[in-house]
Amino acid sequence: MSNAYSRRSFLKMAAAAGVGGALAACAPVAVAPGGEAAPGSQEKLVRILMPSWATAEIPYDTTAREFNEINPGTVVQIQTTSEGWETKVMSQIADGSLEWCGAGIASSASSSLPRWILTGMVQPMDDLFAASSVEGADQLLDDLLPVLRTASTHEGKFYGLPYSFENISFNWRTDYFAAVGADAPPATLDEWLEVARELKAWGADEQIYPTSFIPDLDASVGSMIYGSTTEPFGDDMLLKWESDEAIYALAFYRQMVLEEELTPPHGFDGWLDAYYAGKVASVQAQSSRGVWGQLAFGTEAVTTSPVPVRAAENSGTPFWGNCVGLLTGAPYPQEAADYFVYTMGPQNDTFQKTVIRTGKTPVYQSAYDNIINGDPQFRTYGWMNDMRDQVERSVIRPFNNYFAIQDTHYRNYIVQLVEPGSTMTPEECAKAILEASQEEISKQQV
Amino acid sequence: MARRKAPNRPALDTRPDAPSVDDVRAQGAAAVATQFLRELFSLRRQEWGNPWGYVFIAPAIILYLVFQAWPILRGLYMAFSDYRWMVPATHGLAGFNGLDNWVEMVQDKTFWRSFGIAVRFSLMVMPITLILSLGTAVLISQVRNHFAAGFYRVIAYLPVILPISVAMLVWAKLFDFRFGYLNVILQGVGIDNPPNWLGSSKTALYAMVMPTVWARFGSWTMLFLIGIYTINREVYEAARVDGANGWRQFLHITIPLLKPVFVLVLVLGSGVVSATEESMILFGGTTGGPAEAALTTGVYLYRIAFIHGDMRMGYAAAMSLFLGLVNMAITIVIFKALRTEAA
Repeated sequence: MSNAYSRRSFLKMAAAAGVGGALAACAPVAVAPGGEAAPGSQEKLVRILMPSWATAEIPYDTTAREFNEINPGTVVQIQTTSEGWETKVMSQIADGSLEWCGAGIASSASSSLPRWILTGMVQPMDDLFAASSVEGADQLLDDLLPVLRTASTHEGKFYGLPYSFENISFNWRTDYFAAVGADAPPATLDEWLEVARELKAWGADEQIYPTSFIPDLDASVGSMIYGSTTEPFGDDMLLKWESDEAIYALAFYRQMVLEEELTPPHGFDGWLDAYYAGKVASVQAQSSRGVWGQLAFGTEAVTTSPVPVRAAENSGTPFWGNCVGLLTGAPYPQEAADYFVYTMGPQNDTFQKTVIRTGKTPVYQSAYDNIINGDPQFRTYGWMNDMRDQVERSVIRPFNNYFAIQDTHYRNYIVQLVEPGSTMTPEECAKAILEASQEEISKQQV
Repeated sequence: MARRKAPNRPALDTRPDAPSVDDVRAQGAAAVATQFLRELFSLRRQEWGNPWGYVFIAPAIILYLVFQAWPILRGLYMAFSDYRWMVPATHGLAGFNGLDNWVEMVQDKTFWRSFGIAVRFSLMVMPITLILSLGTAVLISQVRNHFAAGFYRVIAYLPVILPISVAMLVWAKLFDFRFGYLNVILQGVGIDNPPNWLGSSKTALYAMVMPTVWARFGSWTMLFLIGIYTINREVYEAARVDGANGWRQFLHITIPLLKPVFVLVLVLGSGVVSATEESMILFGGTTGGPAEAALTTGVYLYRIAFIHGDMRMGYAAAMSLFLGLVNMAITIVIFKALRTEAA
């Protein structure tokens, strides 16, 4: 009998192997009831999705390794998200084959966490925290700043655990301000205008912008509206665009940007390059931008303060928590919740210190007591106390997914308001933003 | 002239044991049926070929069905449904809403404004890219030194291999109104107030044209070069003998013989009407640039589908289908206008 294979038999075997391989690949993963791994594999695989910026900034991988070492049988894996991951997660939730347990980062008091909750992508975590035996679990929710706890709560259930928060603040160059005799940040809009004029005269030769915004609604006019009234939102859950406070904020913005040219064009064009080039004396933006400045120019040259406001009685400032969520139908929800507590809980000083060093503000009262105010090495982050106080009395944005709509239309019309040669009035701008937002919201169901 | 002899008709069999007419008919029918089946199976064998072939192409077919055919069919259905990602009740058959999306599209001023921007953008990008790439291809084809010609080909093609996100981010830096090289050079030659390229609503769309042309012209240049290299040199020599100068050779030989390549690049280029990434990367997200001056339809529908409110993917799919139909119409016009099916 010949050992040689004919071409036909070889092709048959190859095709059979190919078809067999394809069928094997299509076969469902062997998962025992209750989400247990297939026989032979005793490990509970807890996959957590994180965006690459978060894993680059925060050592989630390191804490996962630590957690795995002290919890034999559980393997936490941090995976970075890719385009369209939410769609994939939702599909898997729908057909009951979810392979991940948790995901980040969603902003509370913004659009993303409400979207995750409204679509049923994430589940409440209260009961899992209560059942957790990990150190810190019993104090986690109580230690959380109340406003952040509320912002992550929907219909009485807690959905998004923040590892940090950010708020709109005034990030300023102490050396430049000192050059014009200012050793404190402006507390009111009038003081801001005054010091900006002085900075403009002082920095004219070097073409230094006295101040700058970033393009977001939150960081510019939105923040000014917050600082002018105790009730920034109307019944339609949009900012009160036609209120005196909003018109004043738009007019103030126009004055700074167009009439007195105290900012880059439009208030923000090329602000980041200018900031890093030392050509911007102050930026109204989220608080972490101040730490970016400190990293570039030194901790003595840049600091962060609460934003200037118009009225003593106000709504604080726009803010958001950077949250992780527990996915609905997660294979190992308790283990995932335990990992969250282990990593992000108030007992993990190392983690809290890492968060603070990135310029993000911690979310637990104990982190302020023990680290920012208790550890001399963290004295330079003392400004975070002011951010905490500011946020503690801030109005939480209404729970809906309309913010992006409002922000989009704001960005369109604010440019038209401050374009050189523009004849648009603040009233017209406010009306245009409101009408465009309302028209689009009328087409939404949620 | 020889006449063709008519074939003799067989004489009628009148023997007593001769088969009846019915028997003959039955036998004939059976024979015909047998022959028919034989032909049919033979034909089938010819049509279907070796069945093993299907096994080998099955993976490609499956991939096509899963990743091409199914999304297209699903997209088609979604264009006629009120599919909202955040509202599960609108998913599946329950979301069917007939022509509602299309009626809304007709009345949607932002959609038409964005479509106008996309058309203007295409009308700038396509001719500029065409002229630049054709000119570059002709110039490279004139280089006789193989090494030098290869060097120029690589240089022309380099922008194509750069990911579009990287290319656009580099251009965004070049366009920076204060620190970008472009304005630094303009200021160096005495222009004190150079444009705020990406910041002004007056210049944003034009600024978007430049990097798009830069990113695309390399591949078009290669296509034209391939076309030029396949033209028989004897045609040029004959024209030269007849006294045709370089311009006439280009006009009467190169251009007509490149017609199939023109069709190809124009059909490929017509997709620029769906441009999305350029605006999203240059202007950071779905803002559509300052005062939405660069809000192309692609960006607008992306915003509707993935950023705003309920994430109205059904309406976005309708807009996307509209763009697809526009692309098809442009393709038909190109084929008709250039009167070639050879491409």
